[in-house]
Order: sequence, then structure tokens, then C-alpha cells
Amino acid sequence: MKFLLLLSLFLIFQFSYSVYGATDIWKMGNHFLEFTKDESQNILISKSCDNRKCDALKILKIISFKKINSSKLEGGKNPGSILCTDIAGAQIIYLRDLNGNDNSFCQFKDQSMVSASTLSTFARKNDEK
Amino acid sequence: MMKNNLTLLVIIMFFNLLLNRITIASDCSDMNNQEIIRLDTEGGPLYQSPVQDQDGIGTCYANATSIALKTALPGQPDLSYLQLAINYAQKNETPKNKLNGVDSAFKSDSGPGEVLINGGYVCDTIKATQENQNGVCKRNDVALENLLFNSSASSFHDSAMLQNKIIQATSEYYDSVKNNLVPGAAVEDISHRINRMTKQQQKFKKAIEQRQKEYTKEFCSKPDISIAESVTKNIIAKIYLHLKNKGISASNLSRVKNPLDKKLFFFTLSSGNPLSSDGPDSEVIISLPKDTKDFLLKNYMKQMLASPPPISAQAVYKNIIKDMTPKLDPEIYKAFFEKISPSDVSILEKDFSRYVKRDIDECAEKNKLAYYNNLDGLVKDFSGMGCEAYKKQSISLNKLSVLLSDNNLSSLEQLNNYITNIPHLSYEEALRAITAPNCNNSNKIHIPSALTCVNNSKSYTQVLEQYVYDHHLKTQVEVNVLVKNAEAAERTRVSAAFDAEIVAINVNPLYLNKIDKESIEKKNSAIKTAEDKKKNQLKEVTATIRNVIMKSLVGAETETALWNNYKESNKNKFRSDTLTRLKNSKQAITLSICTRVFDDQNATALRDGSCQKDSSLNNKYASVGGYHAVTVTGAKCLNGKISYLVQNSWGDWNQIKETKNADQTQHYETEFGKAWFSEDELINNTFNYQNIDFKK
Repeated sequence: MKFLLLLSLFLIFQFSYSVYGATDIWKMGNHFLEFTKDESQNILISKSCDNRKCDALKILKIISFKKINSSKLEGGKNPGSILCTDIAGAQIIYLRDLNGNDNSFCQFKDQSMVSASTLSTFARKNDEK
Repeated sequence: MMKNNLTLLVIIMFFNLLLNRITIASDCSDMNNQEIIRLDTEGGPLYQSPVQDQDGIGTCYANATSIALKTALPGQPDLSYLQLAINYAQKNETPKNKLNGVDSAFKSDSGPGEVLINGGYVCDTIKATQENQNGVCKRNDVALENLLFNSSASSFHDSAMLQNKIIQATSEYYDSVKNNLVPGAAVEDISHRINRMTKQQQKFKKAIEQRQKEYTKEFCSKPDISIAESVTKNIIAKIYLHLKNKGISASNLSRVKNPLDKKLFFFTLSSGNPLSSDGPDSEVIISLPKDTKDFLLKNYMKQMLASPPPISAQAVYKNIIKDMTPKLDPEIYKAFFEKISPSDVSILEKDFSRYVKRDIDECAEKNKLAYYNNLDGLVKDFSGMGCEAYKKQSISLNKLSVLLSDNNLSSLEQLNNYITNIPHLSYEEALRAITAPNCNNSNKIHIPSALTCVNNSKSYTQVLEQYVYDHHLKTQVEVNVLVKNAEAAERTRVSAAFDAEIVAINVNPLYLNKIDKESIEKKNSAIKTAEDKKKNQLKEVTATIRNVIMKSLVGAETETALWNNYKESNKNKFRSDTLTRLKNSKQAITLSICTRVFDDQNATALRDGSCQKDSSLNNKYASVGGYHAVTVTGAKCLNGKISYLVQNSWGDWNQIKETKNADQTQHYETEFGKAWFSEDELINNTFNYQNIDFKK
């Protein structure tokens, strides 16, 4: 029983990321959206992913560059955008921070979002394993 | 003893300091140790200049150009990278495509709408813009670029490659118009044809305008409760904020002293709005229950048309809220209307004018695109009117208008006028019209001829090749034969591997004998991936093979010496060019760089003669390397070493933080969308850089 409990705890930690960090605001028009910025893991993700298993968090476990061909990136396209549309099958949303910087985010069916660069980061982490 | 030791220590420290100063001075050239030059700090031309995100379109060269031009031009204008890309493509790519019978750089012979913004060159972009009489618009005047990030759309739309999608839809519409200009008779005088077809297009335009007028009249006279609904939501949102700021929640309700707050809490709950912002997208969502909506629809519109007519929409709205069942507690009713804002009152009154006074001009103007969005009506109208030939034009017009209105663009009118009024309109001009409806001639920036852009590039393979000829190791003819044979062998190898891969896909049990849609799609996708891989492997085959052959001809020892010489001279020139501009004229430098260095600080793409992925890296992780344009916007000298600040156009560019040193610490020092690179890291992977100078 104890073993099973330990095993399930191990599996929970193994197959999910937990995000803790500062709150960041990104906006689209009048929509003000809250994000968690976890510097230690290099994650920028919807605040709603803090306490539930959202799609944006799940994809970080499996995203990979392996199926992306260099030709897809001609002209210096943002690799995170290509991962979002071609691998994750999600949609890109453009948001702007309160200083006017642009950033693209990947939005999933459950509406959770993660920055395109977080996708690139985790694709690389996963491919290095 | 103690004193002697101290004296010795001071002497050692003095010499150490002196030595350091000498080393530092020689390593950083004109820069002092600890000196930092940045164009993005207060007083610099890029101060508070936002970082761009080019998303899935290949406009890096135009993004870099727009940043560099901001530092070079008077007034530091933020220029549209999309328009810079259009200018580049019109001058450099369209003529090439014309040879293949395709009339635009943004299309290919594989069909209309195939977008080809897949890279370009900074100096060519500047030259094309200097020569283009249209100049270039500022980012804020290019709706497509500006509104993408500043949309007031009520819901999130898939914006992936939105620029691409709009360019494709414009392309299809443009083609459908042009197809209708194809001559009816085999032999027809050109000017006669244009006259005839222009008349037809004018007829189409007039018919559209007429139908649009009728449609908007009908549309704007309809009962509509969206205004009343939105005002109600605003009021509920304000109550929500009031309670949230007071820290009232279900768990502490028993401790709430103010009875009105308690009542308001239950009111928000009964309105279906729990006090939480934990929606899936972390946004506060305010909704109205269906019975409230039904009540509004039934009573609001009914009372608006009552006889005698109501005095105002606000009065009607107040009446129906009062009558709403279950009846509101008088205290809540009072509190509810205390929250109505002047702007909400004004919105209600506009609706009153539209629906009761039948003043529909404002509504009609706002909903012009609605007509085009109604595909059934649009196609039916023109089919029914005997305009069958315009069916395709109507369908593509509809597709484009849906994209535009979804993204708050309303330039379709202008595009339509453009296309129908100017028979010789080029595709690129049509694109300009649709991407920048607000950019008139007085807003355009023309790049003066006093601005120059010089490319600095010298291929390392050429250096090796020159050595081979100078030392008579081989003649040019012999080299060409060697390269040709090796290239043919490599092509055969790649093709054989591709064929084997296709056979493996065909016999894969996942796809074999499967006829369901999903399996077929998966199989086609696997084939496409294999094709892309082959295309990519063959892309730089000549450059890679030439480099490998030259290296083998000169020998490893000589090659190392040649590389070190080449790198040193490159480094000195780059340093001098960059520091002069950053320091003296506060101008940025643009680079054409291989992105392998983003993932691997030890990459040496320049020495390899191509930006192909390194096979040894491939085993480590599937890093994606490719040519890319970035901008150098700063430099610093620390511990006698120079590093450069590189600004990218990939948003926050956080993935670069994952490039690690041997001890697993972060290698590159980063900021939002920017990173610091050592001189070696840049020189080893920069294929060319551009000096942009302007005599201000």
C-alpha cells in the first residue's frame, strides 16, 4: 500500500510540472490576462494553470522539435509559433505587455495559454533528454 | 615580517592591476573596461522601443531593417516591417516569379495565395524602399500590424500567421478580379479590353454598393438586445469588483456586516456569476442567464416601440430591470443603477436613435462588412442577377471580409475601389491598400538617398578556394569537376534514403490498406515530412560539399591557420564598424546569422560554410538551425572582453536561456527579446552584416 502511494506520488511529480512564480499581465485590447512567470523553469503560462492540469501545461511534457524541418523556419520564423500550430495543433494569440512589447502565445482548446518561447524551451528540454 | 608581506601584496596587486589594464585596453579596442553602450537606454534611439514578434512569417530581414532604420532616420520612426517586406518582394522576387508566369512575389506557380515571404536581405529592402514611390508607412498606420496586438475584438481569434492568411485571401480576391478581366475574344485591342472590363467591374462595384445599402438598412433596423445585454454585464461586473475589493466571498459571508453587500453577493450568484476569476483563460467572465436574456429581448424591444414613444432608452432600460422577475429588491435596484456609467447611458441612447428614431447612418457605417460576411446572400444576389461570372469573385470577397472584420480591419472598401478603379493595379499595391488603409501620403516615410547600406560579407569557403588556386593545388576546372561528382553522389545518397523512407511509410501497418480519412491524412503528412527533409538536405549541398573539398585540399593544419587569420581580420573589421556606429552615430548594425549559435555557443557555421544542422548536435537534440536576421543594439567591455547585445524579433525569446555552460548554468545573459553574445560567438556564425549610414 505504502509502495503504491509512493509510486503514485512519484508518477504525479514525474508527469506534471508545477508552476510557481510572479504574476504577469498580458493584454489584448480590453482583455487583461493573468500569467504566471516561473523564472526557475523558464515558463510563462496562464495563471489558471497554477492549480489545475491545463492543456498548456500538459503539452510541455511532450512537445518536441523532432518533427519540425528546418525548411519550415525559413526567413527566421519564430520556432515557438511553428511548434504551436504544426505540432501542438493549437492557435496563436498575440498579446502585448504593459510596456508595449509583442509576444505570441499558444492557446489550447481549454483556453489555457503558454508563451511561444516556453514551447521552444520545453521542446528543447525534451529533445535533450 | 607582517609589514614586508603587506608591501609585497601591494606590489603584486599594483602589477596585477597594471597588467589587467594593459590586457583590457588591448582586448576591447576603443572601449574602456566596464564601458557599456546601449541604444535602448534613456536618450538612445531605441529607448522604450518595443520588441517585435514576427510569428510564423519569414520577415526577419524586414524586422531587423525596421529597427536599424529607426536608429538611422531623423525622428526615429517605427516603420512597418510588413510594408518593408512588400517593398522588398515587389522589387526582388516578383520579377523572378514573372519568368515562371506568376505575377507576384507573394504567390507561386503552385497556385494563388501561396505566400512566399520566406526571407530576404536588409540592404535590398532598403534599396527597394528608396526606389519605391510609395515609401513606407509607420507601424501604427498599418492596421494589420498594429491591430494584431491591439485588437478590441470581443473574443480571441486564431491569429497564427494572420498576416499570411490575409495576404492569401487578398491574393485570391485579386486573382478572381483579374480572372474576370481575361479577354472574351481571342483577338482584342488591349485598351479596348481594359475599357470593357473596367466597365464590368464598375457595374459589379455599383451592384455591391446597392445591395450593401439595402442589407445594412435591413440589418440596422432589426431588434437587437446586444446593447442592453452589454450594459447589464458592465453593471454586474462593477458589482463583482465592488464585492471582490471588499474581500467578500462565500466563505466569509457570515462575517459581512453590511446587509446590502450580502444581498448583492446573492444577486451576483443568482445572475450566474460566481465571485471568481479562475476561468480557464484567467479572465473575469460575466455572463447572463438565458431567462434574463429572453426577458430583455421580449420587453426591451417591446417598450422601445410602445406608443407614445418612450422618452429615452435609459428610461426603457430602467423600467424593464424594475419589472424583471423575480422582482429586484428595491435596495439592489437602487445600487444597480448607481453603477450605470455615462458611457453606458450614451450607448443606450445610440441604440434608441437607431431603433426608435430610425437613424441608422452610424450603424450602417459600422456594419458595412456585414454584407460581405453573408456568403449566402452575396453569392445568391450575384447569381440571381445574371452575374454568374462574379460568383468566384463574390466567394473570395466574402472570405477576405470575414478575416478583416474578425480582426477589426475595415479597409475592404478601399481595396475594392482600388481594384475596380485601377485596371493596372499591381498585386503589391493591392496588398498595401489592404494592410494600411490609414496610411495616406503625408504619413509615409521616404528613405532619403543619403542613406547607404553596405553589405560586408566574404565567404570563408572562397578564402580556402583562393588558397587552392594561389598555391596551384588544383585548377578551377578540376575543382568544379570534384564538386560536381561529390554533389551527384550526395544527391544520389539523399534520394536513395528518401525512397527507402517512402517505401517504409507505404508498408507501415499504420497506413497499409487503410482507407479512413485520418489514416490517409497521417500517411500524407509522413510523406510530406520526408519530402521536406530531402529538400532541406539538398538545399545547401553545393555549399557544404565545396567547403569540405576545399578543406581536404588545403589540409587540416593550413586550414586552421587560414581560419584563424580569416576570423581575426573579420573580427577586427566587425568590431571597428560596429563600435564606430554604436558609439559615434548611435546606429544599429544588422546581421545575417545562423541560429545554431542560439542553441550551441560553440557552433561555427561560418567555418562549416553553411548553416546546415550539425550532425553531432543532431544526436544531442533536434536543434533547428537556419539563416536569420537580427540587430546589434549595444556592446560592452567586461574583463577585457567585448560582447554585443543582439535584439531578436521572436517576442520574449526565452528559449535562449536554455543554452547551458558545462556546469549547467545559463550561458547567455538575456533580457526581454535580447541576449548578449561574445565576439567569437557572433563572428563564428555571422555570414554577413550591414553598415547603414546616414549623413544626418
